[in-house]
Amino acid sequence: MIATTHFLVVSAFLFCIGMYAVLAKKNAIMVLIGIELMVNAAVINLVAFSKFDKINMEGQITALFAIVIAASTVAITLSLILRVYRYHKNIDPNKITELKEK
Amino acid sequence: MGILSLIIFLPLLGALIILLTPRKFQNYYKHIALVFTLGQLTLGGWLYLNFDQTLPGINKLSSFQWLEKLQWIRLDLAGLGQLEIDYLIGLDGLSMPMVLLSILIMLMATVSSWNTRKSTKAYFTLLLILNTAVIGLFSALDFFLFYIFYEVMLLPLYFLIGIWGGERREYAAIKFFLYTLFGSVFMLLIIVGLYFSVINPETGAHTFNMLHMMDPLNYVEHSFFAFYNNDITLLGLPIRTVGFLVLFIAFAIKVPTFPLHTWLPDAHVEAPTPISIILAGILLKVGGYGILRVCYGIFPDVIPQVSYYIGLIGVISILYGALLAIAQTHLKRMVAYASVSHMGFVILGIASVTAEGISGAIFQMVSHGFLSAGLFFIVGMISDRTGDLNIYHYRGLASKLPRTAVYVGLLFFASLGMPGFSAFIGEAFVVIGSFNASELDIDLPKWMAAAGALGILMSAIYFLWTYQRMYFGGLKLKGGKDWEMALTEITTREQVVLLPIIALALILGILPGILLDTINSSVSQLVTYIFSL
Amino acid sequence: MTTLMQQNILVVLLLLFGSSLVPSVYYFLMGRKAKSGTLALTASSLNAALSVLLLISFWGAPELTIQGTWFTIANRPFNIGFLINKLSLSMLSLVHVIALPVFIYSVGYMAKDGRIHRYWLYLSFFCFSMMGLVLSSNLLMTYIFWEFVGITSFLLIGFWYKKSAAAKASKKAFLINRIGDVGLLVGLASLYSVFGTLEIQEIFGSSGLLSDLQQSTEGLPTALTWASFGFLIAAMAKSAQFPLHVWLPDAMQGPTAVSSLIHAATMVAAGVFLLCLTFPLYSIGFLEIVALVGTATAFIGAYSALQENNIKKILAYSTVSQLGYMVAAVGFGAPSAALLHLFTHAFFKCMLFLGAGATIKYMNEHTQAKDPQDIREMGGLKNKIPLVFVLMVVASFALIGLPLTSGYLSKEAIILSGLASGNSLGLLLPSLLIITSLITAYYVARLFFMTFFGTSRHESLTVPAGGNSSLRIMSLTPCTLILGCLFILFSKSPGGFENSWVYTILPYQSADLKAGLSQVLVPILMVAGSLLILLATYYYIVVNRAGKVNTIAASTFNKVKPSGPSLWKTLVRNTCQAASWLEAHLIDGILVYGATGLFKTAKGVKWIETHLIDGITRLIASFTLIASKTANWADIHIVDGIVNGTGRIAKQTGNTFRSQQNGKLQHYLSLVLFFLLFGLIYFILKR
Repeated sequence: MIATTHFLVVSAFLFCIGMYAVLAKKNAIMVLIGIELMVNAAVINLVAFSKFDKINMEGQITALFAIVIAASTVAITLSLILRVYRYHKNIDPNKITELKEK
Repeated sequence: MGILSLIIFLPLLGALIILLTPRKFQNYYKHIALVFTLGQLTLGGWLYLNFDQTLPGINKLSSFQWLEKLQWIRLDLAGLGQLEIDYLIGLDGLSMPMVLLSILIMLMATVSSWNTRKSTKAYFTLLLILNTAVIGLFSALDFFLFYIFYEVMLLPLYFLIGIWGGERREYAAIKFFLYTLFGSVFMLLIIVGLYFSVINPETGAHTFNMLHMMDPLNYVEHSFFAFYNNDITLLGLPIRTVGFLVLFIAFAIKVPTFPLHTWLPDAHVEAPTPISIILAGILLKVGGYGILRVCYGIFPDVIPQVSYYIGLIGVISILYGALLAIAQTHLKRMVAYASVSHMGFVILGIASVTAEGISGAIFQMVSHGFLSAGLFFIVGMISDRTGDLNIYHYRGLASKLPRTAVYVGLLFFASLGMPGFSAFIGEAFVVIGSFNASELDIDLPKWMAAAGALGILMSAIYFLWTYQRMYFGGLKLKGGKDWEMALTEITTREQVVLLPIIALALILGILPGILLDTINSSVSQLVTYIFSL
Repeated sequence: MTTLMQQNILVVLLLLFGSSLVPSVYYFLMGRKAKSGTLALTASSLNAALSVLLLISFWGAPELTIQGTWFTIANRPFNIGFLINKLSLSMLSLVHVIALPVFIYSVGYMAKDGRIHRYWLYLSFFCFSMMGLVLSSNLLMTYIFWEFVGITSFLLIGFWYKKSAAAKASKKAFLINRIGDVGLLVGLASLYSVFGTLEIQEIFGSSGLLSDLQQSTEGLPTALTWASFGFLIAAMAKSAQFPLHVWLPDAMQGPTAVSSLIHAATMVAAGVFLLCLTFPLYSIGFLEIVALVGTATAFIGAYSALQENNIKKILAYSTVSQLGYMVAAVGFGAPSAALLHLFTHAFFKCMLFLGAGATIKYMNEHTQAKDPQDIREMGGLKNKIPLVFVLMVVASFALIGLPLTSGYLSKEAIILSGLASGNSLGLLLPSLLIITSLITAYYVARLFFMTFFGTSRHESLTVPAGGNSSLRIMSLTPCTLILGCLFILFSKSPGGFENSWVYTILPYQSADLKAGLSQVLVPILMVAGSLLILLATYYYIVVNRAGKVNTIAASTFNKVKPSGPSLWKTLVRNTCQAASWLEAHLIDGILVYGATGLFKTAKGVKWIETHLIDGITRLIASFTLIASKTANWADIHIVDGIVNGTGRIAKQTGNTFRSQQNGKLQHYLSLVLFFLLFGLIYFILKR
């Protein structure tokens, strides 16, 4: 029997992998993928918890929303990364330190 | 709009005109500033001539002159009652000399900034804003208004030191700014506390009016600063004592007294000459004036408990400042520490709570106002010519510059309290007053008065030593021939500045009545008021 | 007193003040353009004439105060005013009468100086200040003019400011005088705190506030003790009393004419004047301190003079010593005697200085002496400058206190009142003063004989024509003061000091002098002793040094012509030989060893003087310097250090946090995560 806990564990694993990618990867695309993983971890949770709402299925609907929004953010983010690459000739987040005070 | 408001805001108008004048005419900024300051002086002179010396002021609103009262901010704070801030200005014997002194010093500073080259637009604008703030401060009778002027005064000075100053100007400017802010932030707390403790008897609303704060009957019972039956303590001290001390510290920083004086030498050394003149001539007086008007006015009941310590601080400032002045090799630092020592007399005189002592203190403030301005001007003259202010690098200047030597000698002797000059009256009466205090059951022991007298001796040491070191003996300069070429005799413009200073010192020294008659009734009123509580 | 008289006096006073102030202003404004001293001289003559006239016409009239309000502080008026009484007017006359010859003398003395306009400015201003000092009717004015005279003294000592010794001496004089000023300020402030007024007449008058207070049964306030000590310190500094006397010998760096007027006759006496003025203030116990100070000063001053070779410094130490006499007289409760000595001393000491000035000028211009002020370089000047010689004789006799001179009168007065005073130290102080007077005889004689007798040590140079005219002025003018060296000016009889007009000046009753043995014995002892010392010094310095004859007896012996029977001849010869042997071995021995001993101790005293007393001054100076350096260090490192330390801590904390802001997004994210986890764990554990 696959219980809710199992979904949650998978989701947590997925989230941690995503987090690791966001914090450690030297490539902005990989960071983006990490973010997507974290979003999907959340989506899994939503779907799993929708089990408790069998009438309105709010969890699943929200998950659908999230997937659509994630797709559009990926598009925007990719274009941003493209712009950043054009500007800095680089997409390593550690090498771009514009936020640091001069 | 009354004439007093006109005096206060005339410079602001000047500043506006300078701001609107295109950069093409930048050579005329100084003329605009001069014209407005001169206009201010005319009005101030008229004010002085029409000043009724018999009206005491201090805690009686009706006896203030050129009183102006406008409702400024009225806010309904629901549960907290109504917020009542007035535009309330007026003059009495305490503030009249200060206003006149400020105008004079400002004029002097304007003339001595004649050669300023660096961004004159900003410079003269800031100078004029400073002018407004200072005059406003001395005539404000509403504590909130007082505080606003107090803070506005800071800003132009910060930029004037920080931009037009010497090598370590940023350090000096920030130090000056933080020191003063340190005092004024806590002052704000006390102001708010007072606001919630005092009620305007006419409207029943809380008020910032300083004169209402001086009447014990206006205090709300069991309020924070309640005058009677107040059991609130902070750090083991009664709350009213704390209030007095916090305000005292805020003003003592301005004076400055030991151990809050270290901003002064740095600020002076780095500030350009005109700003040094303003600092020494006006800014330090804000401290003494504030103690008399605010600390003594609002917390008269605390004075008996603290007079000993105030006197002690005064005496330490006198002797410590004098010792430091002796140790200096930098001329400007020497003059700066001499200021600390001379302002110590003001504190000692104020601590005596006698008419003689307080009159002496005010006299000393005024006299130190233009004498120290003159001293800094002389320092500026030397640094303009050679750029070096080390006392040891000069010797025998008297034979090279006989006329300058006469001016410097006169100013030095005036500053060390030679009779016939104004400083003498101030210092002598501070000592007389503080001796008198010990006979009047004021907690100010005789040794403090005697130690204050010793300060007069020590001021002779450093001035005489410096004068002898730099001006006597055979001519010997560190810079050799270059300096000998550079050290030219005093110019006409410089004489135009110095002559009135010396003349003023002389006139006030020979006819002290000019000033003393003006302040007499106010000082008497203050002393009577303090002892009536 | 009629108002008419009051007005007259006021007019005269204004005239007096005007005639002193006008030259000052004139010379100040004209600067270098004003070379001639005509205006100053005219003013000075006018002053002298007017003041004497005023004194004579006023004499005997009741005391008078002319005053107006200067300013008020809280209903208490501070006046500007003149106290016209015998004391102030006689002091006024003294100042101006002495000043006149000094002014004339200066014309010769300062003839070639380039800054003579300054000289006239300072000197005129000095007369003005001194006038204010003696005439002022309240202590505040006294204080003001007290400082003025100090400043003019400073300016005149440092007149040749390019000489570093002069600059240093002027600084020293001013600073020590400032100690006195502080004392005076403390004194008057204390009096004010008790009486609420500074009017001299209201406080010290015969029915003034002070006597009311002293008669009341309540204890006297401590402020009066403060006042007493303040005034004493003021007098000690101004009148060069031990140990504040160190400035006076150095003050001789100034022009000699100035030394004679300011540092011998008038200004230095101001301290004594102050003590006389405030005499009712002092308790009996306090007066004993005053007497002790005075006597110590008299003795030490005289002793220091023994060892000096500089003619001006000898006279300076002598001034210190004589001022000690005056202060001691005040201490003995006899201010009248002090005042008498002040008057007589002013005359003869001024003459001595003027004579010394002329001598120095002669040495400077007519010989090649290395140091024209060294008495060892002088000698045999008796014939070269006879006029100077004569006036020095008279003045020296007065200083020693030989009968018929004025000095005899006043010294006798002081010592006799000392014997009668009932001081707790008994006879110690008067006998010390007697010894001092004998030492005085010795150093004066030494100065005198070494300068004018014996052979000259330098050849005279021929001086270009006209060079002597200034010397003539300088030797003639002091002669006008000779009258003041004789008793006639002060008393009708040569020994009757109690009948002197000076004794009627002060209203205080002097102690009754017991007509006892001491009245007769002491003067005889003093005069005989002084004469003996004079003779011995003459013999020791002139005769002995000349190398011609060894002993007086031997010279008598040589003069005795062998005549008559041989027995008589042998007898005479043997007696003479015996006497000669006696003299050579005993008297000469005593004299020589005595003198050597005296000299050696004098050297010791001088050592103490330069190393200990002056050393203490220097120690205080360096202590002040060290204290100021320490304070400076503390100010930079501790007081300012705390401030800067606070700033530094704030800055470093800021820096620590700032380093976290490195612009790396992932770093920021990690931080966010870290703190989130931290918070989470904290809340979990807290539960």
